[in-house]
Amino acid sequence: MSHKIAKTSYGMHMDRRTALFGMTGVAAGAMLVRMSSWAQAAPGGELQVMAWEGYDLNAQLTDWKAATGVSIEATSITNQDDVQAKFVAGNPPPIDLAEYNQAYADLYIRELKIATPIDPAQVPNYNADNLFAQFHDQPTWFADGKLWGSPYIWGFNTLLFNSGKVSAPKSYKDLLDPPFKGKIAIMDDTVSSWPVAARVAGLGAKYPLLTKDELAQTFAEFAKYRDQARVIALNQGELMNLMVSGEVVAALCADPSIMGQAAEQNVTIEMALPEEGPVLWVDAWFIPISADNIETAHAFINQSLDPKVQAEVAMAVVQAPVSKKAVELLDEASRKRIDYSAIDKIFASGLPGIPPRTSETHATYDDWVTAWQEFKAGM
Amino acid sequence: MRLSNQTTGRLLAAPAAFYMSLFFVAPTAVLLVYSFWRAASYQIIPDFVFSNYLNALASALFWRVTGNAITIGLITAAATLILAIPVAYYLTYVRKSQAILYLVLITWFSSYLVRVYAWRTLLGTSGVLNTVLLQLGLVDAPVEALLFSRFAVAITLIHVYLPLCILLVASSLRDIKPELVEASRDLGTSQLGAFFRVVAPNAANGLIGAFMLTFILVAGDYVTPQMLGGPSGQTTGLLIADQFRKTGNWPLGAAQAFIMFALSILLYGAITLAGRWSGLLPGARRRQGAGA
Repeated sequence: MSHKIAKTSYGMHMDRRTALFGMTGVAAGAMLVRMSSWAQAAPGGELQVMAWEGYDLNAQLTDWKAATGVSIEATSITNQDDVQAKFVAGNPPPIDLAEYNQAYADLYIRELKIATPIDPAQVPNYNADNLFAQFHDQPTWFADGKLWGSPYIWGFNTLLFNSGKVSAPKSYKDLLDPPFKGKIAIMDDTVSSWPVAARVAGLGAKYPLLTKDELAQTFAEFAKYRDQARVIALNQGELMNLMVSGEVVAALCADPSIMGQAAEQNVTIEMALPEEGPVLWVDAWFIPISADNIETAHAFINQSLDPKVQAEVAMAVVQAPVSKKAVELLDEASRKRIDYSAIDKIFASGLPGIPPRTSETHATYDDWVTAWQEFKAGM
Repeated sequence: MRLSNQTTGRLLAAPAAFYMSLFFVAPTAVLLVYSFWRAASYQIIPDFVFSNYLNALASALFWRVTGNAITIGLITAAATLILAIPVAYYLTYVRKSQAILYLVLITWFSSYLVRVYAWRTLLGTSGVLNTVLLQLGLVDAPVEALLFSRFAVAITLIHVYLPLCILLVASSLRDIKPELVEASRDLGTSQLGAFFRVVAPNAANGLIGAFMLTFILVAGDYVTPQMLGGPSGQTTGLLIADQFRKTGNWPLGAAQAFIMFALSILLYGAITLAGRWSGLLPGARRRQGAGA
């Protein structure tokens, strides 16, 4: 019995059966590697997420969770500082994804180094065709050729008021009027409250780079609002309860996401756009250094950028999608609330940052925290 | 093999001692070490400096919030103890008082946060208390000072810690034989006099213990003051938490925690001295007896 001899390109000789076995083996091996890769890439298991209340997508990703078997274990944050506090400790918890405000990008990515790069290949919805140009590959989230944060949602924190009890304020300063005495709330949220404090002191354009004297000036002015306030609200849920119960009728600067929850309890809360301007923000996802379900984290980020999911979450929290394809999926009220055709103008003046960690000339982040603590303590 | 009482006692205490060593003594030692380190922008640097203690002691904010914490602690602990003593007395010396004991214990079946929110509802401008005051015509407008005030914090914390204080006081009264009280009454002492001359001196250590434990729990609490206290709700606990959570300055937070710990020890010493000076504590009584 003779066998034809095949000559390989490597100059080795083997018979056809051997060659066929070899080719089959290679194909099977490749398939196994591919299957192994699929298995590795398949989302599943528990995904630990840190996000603001209402922003964890638990409600919007019901179908995806059912299809993949992923369970989302969400931890609510009430202040952006809750996030870095978890990861600067020696043994950070295995949180797979966390939400962060753009002001903290440098701190997380370049200084504390608590973020790991996101693989864009695993996030196909992250593309220029889907996202507004303001969010795709912008330096805030994309640096050194790596994607560190995936912008997910943006919007305004602004003045909220109970339209059944007071008329719409036109300025933050209107809250100093007698009808609001003892009836307003200030959020214990530094990301929103600090820029507003600087603005009402006439130093908004300089924020976050204020000198120590300017910082003192800022809080001296802001103290008028504290003296007018009923309470410094700890979080969004508390603010919503206080507004529904009638304990307060306006919030200096808060997330409009509570409007929907209040409406369910037959209380109409509306947002006003004060002449000093609302506080613009963009939140993104980052994968922390201690994440242990990275494949699922990527899949979650990808889902979060799906236009349908984007539209649903934007409507739920009364904010705006980063996906331009999502705009047409918004209901009429949500679509009209923001002029998406002029998004470049909205972002023209940039996004607020946070005070520097160290500085010879400006008040540092620690100086601001101390000033904020003194403010809350009535000093 | 028959073990001595001392060995048996050590063996029985070993699991708890091991647990406390691992989860209290060791972390406290680590915290003490941290308090001498330095922090620079979220970086914790091993060192041996006193600057954290000096900075905390020089901070007007620290003294302001510590004053708040101590004031709330003292008011609440004193009121709680005063309310606890008659109930504990009843539980100890009156037969068939078990129903009251169960009522005391049942309050622990509700969550701490639920109770805090319940008080917020009761004390709000449209809450039950204001509604009653308005309907009785005692006020023309809702009293806003009921909520987000030191009063709101104190009344809530009294509610939270009263059951614990009652049990502590009751356990200290159980060792005092009723015959002693009866004897003092037979000798012509009034009921109140019997309490101050017989019960209080014999239960003094337990009463001080109940007061101090309530004080420490209340002064260290930062949830209720924060939720119900308004500007007076800023306490040392919150300040310390902020050092760990916001600024990443663990060494300063650790130093503030140890200063608060030292202040509690000082307060305990001051109360003990005051007790001895007033004759309520046994030490002073013995000295008086020796001198007589």
